[in-house]
Amino acid sequence: VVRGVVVLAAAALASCAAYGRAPHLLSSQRGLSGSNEPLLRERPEPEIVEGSLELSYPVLVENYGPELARLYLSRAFGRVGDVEDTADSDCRVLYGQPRVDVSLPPGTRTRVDCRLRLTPLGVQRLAQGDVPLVLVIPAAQGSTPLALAFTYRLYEDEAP
Amino acid sequence: VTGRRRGALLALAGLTITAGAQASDVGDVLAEFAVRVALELAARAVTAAVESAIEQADRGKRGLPELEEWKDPKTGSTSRMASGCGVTIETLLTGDASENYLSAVIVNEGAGRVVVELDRGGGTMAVSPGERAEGWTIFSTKEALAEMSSFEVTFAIQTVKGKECVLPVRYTRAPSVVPSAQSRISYSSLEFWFGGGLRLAAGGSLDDFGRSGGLAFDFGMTKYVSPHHALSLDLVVDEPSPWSTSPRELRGTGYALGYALRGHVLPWLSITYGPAFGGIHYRLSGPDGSHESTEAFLFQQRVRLQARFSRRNQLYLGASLTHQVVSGGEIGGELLRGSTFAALLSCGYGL
Repeated sequence: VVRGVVVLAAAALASCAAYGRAPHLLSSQRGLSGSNEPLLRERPEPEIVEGSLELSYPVLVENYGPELARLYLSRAFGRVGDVEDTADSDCRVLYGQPRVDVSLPPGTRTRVDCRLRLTPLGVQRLAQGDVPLVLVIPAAQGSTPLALAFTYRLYEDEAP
Repeated sequence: VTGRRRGALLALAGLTITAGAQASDVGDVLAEFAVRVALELAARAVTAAVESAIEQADRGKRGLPELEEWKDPKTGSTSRMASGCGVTIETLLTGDASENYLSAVIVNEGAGRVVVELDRGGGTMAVSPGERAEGWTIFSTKEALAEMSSFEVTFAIQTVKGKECVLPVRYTRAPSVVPSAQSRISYSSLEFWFGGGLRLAAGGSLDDFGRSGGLAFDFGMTKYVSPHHALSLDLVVDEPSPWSTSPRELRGTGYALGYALRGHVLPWLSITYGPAFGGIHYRLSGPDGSHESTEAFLFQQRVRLQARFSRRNQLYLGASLTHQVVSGGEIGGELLRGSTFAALLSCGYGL
């Protein structure tokens, strides 16, 4: 019984550690707002799939502005640190098709689920040390181009 | 996280099976099993409570569970965002056992300091450039929010240059989603009970020991993990009747760990049913000053009608019927086996 209680207590403490992967990110550009609230609630962890590191990153986007907004999910990308071509991304809106651009009329919101996969160059960069993974979703408010960016902390020992 | 917890529970299950295989008596196995199940349930409750406390310490009211019926089907979230005057706001609708909250994060992305006023008693917050502030407000009652189909909160923003913006955030309840018990029932997550009553009847050898009359006691605590489900821990005190003329006095003290299922008749009136298992140490004093003692296995079931007397759930009054079955060793020349029924009135204090 004592052993069981000790094991359970240890598991409880381990499962209760605060989520240090990302802070709460909330920002707006011309009324187009983005938040990583679903990430903080669901707490996804990276996983190794077919020799590479993959991560699910859910975000919310809301158009509070007066114009039609566009989310260019086909052009969304990930970046390990500040090195280009280090992560592929596959983003879709809730119940939507992957890599399909969407429009957000004024006063509407959507959830975007992105699957990020590190390229060999990205894995190589991660092997050198802890690094932030940045998800970038190109967008536009009316005719003004914008970009929504979200970060996630990767640890060196997670490199496959 | 889930894997770790499942592994720990499997380890405990393994210990249970091992103990069961080593025990020589079916009664011992059942008693061991009952204790281990109760410990496992208690550990789960502690895990959930610690998780919730840390999550709340980390994220404030935003770390609490979201109110399902207010989630936007397009996002699966109660998050609503608004922006203006260089400020971005995100609100969430969350709730704990006693209250529902509208929490807000305010980020100042502008160049100057702003003052943000949240209506519904949310207060005023000053936010410097590049900084963020968090606030929350409660609804008058959980029942009041459950009756609304939509509502609006406004954030009044004033910049140092005198510019003013009013940012409304509107919530509409998904009509197809029935408000969950968690979001419409206000309850205490932890209740302490004490009270007393009368034993109404007894059977088996407990009748021989004068347990068909006399006083019964209620000391216990209940930890609710949801409006309907709880874990209970009772201190069991089995005293002889003060009106007994028997020269022998049988006294017992023990515990009962169990589960409680609760249904609400009205928001302030509920019925609980709770089966529990435990053990009692009995001691028999003879007229010549001799003593004997034995251990007994206890099964207890209780039905309690309880009324809440304050909105914040601190005070309860309960009326309950309790049935206890004990099975123990030989004491006073007979096997200690029997059952009792008791009716009790109790007071409860909730946290």
